[in-house]
Amino acid sequence: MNRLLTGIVTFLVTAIAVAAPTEYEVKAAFLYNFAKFTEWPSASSDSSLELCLFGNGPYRKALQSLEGKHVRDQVLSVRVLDTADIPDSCRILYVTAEKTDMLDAIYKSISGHQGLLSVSDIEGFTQSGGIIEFRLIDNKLRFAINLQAARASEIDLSSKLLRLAVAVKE
Amino acid sequence: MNTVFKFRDLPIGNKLAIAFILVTVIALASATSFYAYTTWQHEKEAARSELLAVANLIGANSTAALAFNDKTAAQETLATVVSVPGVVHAVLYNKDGEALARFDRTSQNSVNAPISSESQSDSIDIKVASDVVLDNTTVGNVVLYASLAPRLQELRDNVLSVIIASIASLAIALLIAWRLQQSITRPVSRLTSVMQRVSTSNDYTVRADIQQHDEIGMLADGINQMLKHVQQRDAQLEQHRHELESEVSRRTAALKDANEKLRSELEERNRIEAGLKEAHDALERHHRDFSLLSEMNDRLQVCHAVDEMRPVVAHYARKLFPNSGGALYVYNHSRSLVEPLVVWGDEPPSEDVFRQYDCWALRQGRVHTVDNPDTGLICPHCSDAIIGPYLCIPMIAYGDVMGVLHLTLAESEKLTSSLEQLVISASEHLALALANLQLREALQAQSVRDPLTGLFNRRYMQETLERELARTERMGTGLCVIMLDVDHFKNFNDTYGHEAGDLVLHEIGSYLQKAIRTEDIACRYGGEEILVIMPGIDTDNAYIRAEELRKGIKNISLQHKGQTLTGLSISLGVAIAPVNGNSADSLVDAADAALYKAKRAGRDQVMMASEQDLMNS
Repeated sequence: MNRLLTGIVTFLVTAIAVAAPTEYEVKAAFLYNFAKFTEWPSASSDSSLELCLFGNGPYRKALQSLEGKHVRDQVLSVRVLDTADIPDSCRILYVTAEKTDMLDAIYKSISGHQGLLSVSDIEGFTQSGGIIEFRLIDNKLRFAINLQAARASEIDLSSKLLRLAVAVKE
Repeated sequence: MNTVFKFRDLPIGNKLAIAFILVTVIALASATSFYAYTTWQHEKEAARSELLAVANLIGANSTAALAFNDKTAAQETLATVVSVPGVVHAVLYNKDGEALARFDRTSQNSVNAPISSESQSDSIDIKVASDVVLDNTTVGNVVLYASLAPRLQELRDNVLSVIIASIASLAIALLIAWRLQQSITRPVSRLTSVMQRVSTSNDYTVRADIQQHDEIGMLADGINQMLKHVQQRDAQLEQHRHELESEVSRRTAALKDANEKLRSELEERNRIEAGLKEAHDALERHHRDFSLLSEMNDRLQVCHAVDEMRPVVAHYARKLFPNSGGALYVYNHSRSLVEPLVVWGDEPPSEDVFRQYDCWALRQGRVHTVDNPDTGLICPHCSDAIIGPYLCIPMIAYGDVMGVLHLTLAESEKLTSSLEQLVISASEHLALALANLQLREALQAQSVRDPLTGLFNRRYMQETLERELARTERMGTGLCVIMLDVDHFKNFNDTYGHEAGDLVLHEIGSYLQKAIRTEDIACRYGGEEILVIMPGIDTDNAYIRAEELRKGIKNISLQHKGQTLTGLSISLGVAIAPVNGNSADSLVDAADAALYKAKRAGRDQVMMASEQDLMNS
């Protein structure tokens, strides 16, 4: 009897989770997809692809699910940053909206960092030097791209990705 | 079936036309069908690969849209299939199997329009699906539904134009073929009419006039050549026939001559062969006949009496002269008559006994032959019914004629010289044998007979009586003994002399030899006493026989020296065995006693012996 009840509860929880993915989960999936449409410079061809998270809250858990996934022949590893000082090993940087106030420090750290794909929820991120910026349009998650910043960071983004972007800054 | 026969009877032109049309139509139809089929197969394959390429292209272009689940982008990408003809609808599914974008040609860009194959006017002939792969992960798939109707329509148009072109070219080809066919069939029909003329009129001078160098031209030349040959052959045949007829008649005549010659040669040869065979047969017969003659002679040599000759002569006569009859006639004692000694064959001469004058052979003392009874001189002793040739041969031995041998042949037989020779030889042998036997018999008779009376002597009587008695006893028959004595014989001697007495005795002897039966035996017992033995006679008959003898002798008239002797009588005593005795002596005694009784009783009578007489004596 107990086991049956436990089964029913488990099923219901799973059903709810599958039926409606959270914002964090959708964003994690977008991050993973961005990695697939991105080519890094040949020098940084390590066996692992480090995804660095600068922020807190529920993102940590959502991003932890990407740990161990493959992108081409590289394995994703997730690293949580405590400061705006971004290590060289980072290939993807995701900055949550909470860290808006630390934007200047972030920009500073990004500029001159070769081979880093920077993504953020912060409004105007692409205007200031970030590469991809999440935007919520009609309650749907979209994104904008700063192609100039990508070129500066020697990141090659797929044209397919570019076509999906709501705005591309040349 | 009917149409087949009709086709066979069609003129060659029509046959060619029909064949041409059939062949062309079949060729064109099969070529068109093959074209349509292969094109259609190719089109289907092309459509499929083309659609697959389109699906792959759309998939490649929609990876990002699928990855980010961007419906708008997906719809835009999928809408590009509008430029691909034949695609009826298309669906883009994400990795969860949800339709991210749809395309429907009938209601373009209406993403949410329901997809139902039933509602589609165009039938869906091909479905192509292609997975969309991103970084080794399937992120969705593209499915295209296409109709082949546009391609089919295109193919139809193509085939139609091919058919139209075929019909047009067929019409042109027919026109050309018609002209060509005429150039082929016209000479053929000309040839046909020539052949018909030849076969109906048997006119081999006709020629086909065709100036061509193809097969028909060669055929015409061949026919002309053949007609020429036939014409020449006809002429030769006619000539041959004439030659052959004369040859045949010549040969027939020759053959007839040869046949004639052969037949005459054959006849000659047959004649010679027949002659040879005849000679050979004659020789054989001659040999056989003479060996038979020799055989007969041997047998006759051992005969003791003339009587014994009979079976021997009859046997060999039948063997020597088959198919004929005959007789051996012998002179009697007085030589006044001839009597048959032996008779053989089926047709003995009619006369048993005849005189010398009745036979031409006996008269002339030489062989008398009659080849044909109708024309020959027939002996009187022969029957009037005699039909075959015959011959009479006098039998002469030691210069005396003994008798005559008579032989009558069958009507069909011929009297040959060899046969005559044989009969003469036989007659000589027989005459000799007969003469010898007669001589022998005469010598015998002299020893057993009394020369005066010609009767048996007393010694012979004694032997005979004893033999006859023994036989009588064996057979159980009677035997009679008659003792007779001439009455007053002494008076005869005294009155007329001894010669008269001898005459009396001789005459009585002669009479007795004629009067008694052949089996009876008469003997001169002594003096003027005579004994007659009669076998197989009982008492009554004995008396009768004795009485006959008495009367017979009494009637004898005797002439002696011009005088008639009278008063001749005898007395007889009769004894019967076994009543009056069963031995020779006792019987003779009984008969003697009875004789004395007769004498006493007055002579010239018969007396029967009795037991008393026996006892008395």
